[in-house]
Amino acid sequence: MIVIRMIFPCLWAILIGYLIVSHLMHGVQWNKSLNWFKFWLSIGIGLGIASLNYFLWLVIGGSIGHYFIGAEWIILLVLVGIKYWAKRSDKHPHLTTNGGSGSVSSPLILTTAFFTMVALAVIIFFLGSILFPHGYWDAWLIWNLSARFFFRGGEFWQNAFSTNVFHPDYPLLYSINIARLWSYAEIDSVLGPMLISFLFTFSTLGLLVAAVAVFRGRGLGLLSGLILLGANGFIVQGPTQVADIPLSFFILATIVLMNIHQRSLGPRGGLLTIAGMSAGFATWTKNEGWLFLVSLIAVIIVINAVKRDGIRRPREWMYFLYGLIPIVVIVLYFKIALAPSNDLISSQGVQTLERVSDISRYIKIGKAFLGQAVRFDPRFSTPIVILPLFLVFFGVEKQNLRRTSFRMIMAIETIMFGGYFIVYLTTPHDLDWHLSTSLFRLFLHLWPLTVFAVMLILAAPGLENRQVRPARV
Amino acid sequence: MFRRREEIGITLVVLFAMVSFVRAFDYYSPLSFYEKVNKFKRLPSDEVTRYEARFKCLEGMLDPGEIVGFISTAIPPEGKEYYYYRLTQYVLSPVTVEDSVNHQTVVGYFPERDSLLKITINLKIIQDCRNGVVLLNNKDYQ
Repeated sequence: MIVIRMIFPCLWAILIGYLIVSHLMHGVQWNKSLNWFKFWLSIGIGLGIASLNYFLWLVIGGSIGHYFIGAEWIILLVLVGIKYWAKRSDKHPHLTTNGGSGSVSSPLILTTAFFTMVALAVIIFFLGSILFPHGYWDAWLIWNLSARFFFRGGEFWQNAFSTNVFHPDYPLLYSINIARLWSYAEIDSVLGPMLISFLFTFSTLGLLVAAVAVFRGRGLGLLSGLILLGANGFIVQGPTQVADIPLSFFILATIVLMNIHQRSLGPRGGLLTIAGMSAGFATWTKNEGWLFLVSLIAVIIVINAVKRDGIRRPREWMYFLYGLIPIVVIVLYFKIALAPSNDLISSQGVQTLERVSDISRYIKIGKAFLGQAVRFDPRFSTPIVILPLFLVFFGVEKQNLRRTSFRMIMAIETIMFGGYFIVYLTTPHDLDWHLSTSLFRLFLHLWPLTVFAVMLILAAPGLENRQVRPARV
Repeated sequence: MFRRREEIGITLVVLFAMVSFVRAFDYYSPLSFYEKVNKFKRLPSDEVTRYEARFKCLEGMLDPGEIVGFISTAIPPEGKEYYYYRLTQYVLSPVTVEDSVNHQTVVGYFPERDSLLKITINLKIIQDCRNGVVLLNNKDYQ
């Protein structure tokens, strides 16, 4: 059975991810939801590590044999060894916030609605996957195509970066994970990209629900899941086999980890290391990941300059770099040594000034951004405009609005939307075409994070587990 | 205990999600899926799968590292320029395809057979899959 041969390497990657996550988060205890958060996080981190290992074997070995499987075994054994050693010499007290049990029961209607919607989302995923087994336009045009080059190409795998290929400069986390499953199964079945898409779609949902449950209790966690699924852009894009949902996963994971870090007590460097890894994987997933990384670093610098207690131990941020730098070095190697230049950057010149000074472009882009925020049609909808409406009905926790964690997310999103705006302003492509084919996906990158931010400030005392509130924010 | 506004809020969120799902099911319609399965007595195939099947007869005729040309008279769907060229690149990968006839070997896609006869004056047919796909040799290539 091909599907079994593909599920096995997925479990393998998740196990690697779990060992890394649980080791680096060792000692951090909050509530039961944190265990779920670790589990969902492990999926993304594990797939990220597996993709780097595969890529390095391609680069070092000249083609992909079966050595990468041996290397995965070694990684796993080393991690098991570290875990065993750490357990034996466990001197860390189990650090905890006043997390409580985190198990305040959520209302039946919410629980029923959530699990019904998840079941429907799974059905939609399968339906979409059967109707479009190769994914949508961008999937076979970019991601699945480069996966085919890596798996089928042998010594010619670098033809994936030929200028005849569409967007040969796009990062490789997603494509390589598909190729990895094919290498394990020894067949390039459409089940590969379906499985990777399934994992990222539902782990993003799980990650959000668990993250909100960590901070505010299970009831609000389930509510956040319903809101996430309420954007049919998310549900419909799930089975399309493109890398936008994986990017949204890493963006959300990075910010949530930083929030847990801010609110935890004691040594918490490991949290920042995973946050650094997650931010690195964002750059390894899509070029927009670089914009996220730059926004994140800029916001961290500003927060620490303005707010003295924003960074109580500046040296702690070195842990962030420990996680980030090894991944970014590999991504930069790919960018410099293998990938051709990006079309949006290489096509800039004198005409850029003309584009920037054209007021009609600002109006057109502004209208498109506004339109996307209120758009409700299937496939493309990420209706950010509905979120303030929910806040009106539920109310806002005013003191949460002033918290660093919320402001940090808002600042990052503002910079990222600003960055996207500039990309459209300077794009060498036809502006209408560029907006219509990509804007909805850019909003999707930030949709889970936006829902998370809203859940941080939403006032719902009936749903919230007040026990999970940390002592200090 | 819930406040009144929380109850309204929860109801709104649930409704919001339900509407979203109704519209998503409109997009990936189970009804049309069922009709297709009922009609063809098997899972429906998509355009990419069907297009890929046309190229089966070229299997083993092209080397992985090869760069081949491409020519077609098929009209791409609206807004999807180079559609058939890109699709051909996907189905033939790891062979690299260039949208030009300036290669020794050229892959052609001619859904209408008449157009094949008109266009292949300097291109000799090496393999005719008889479904619109042909493998051509460029006599003028130097």
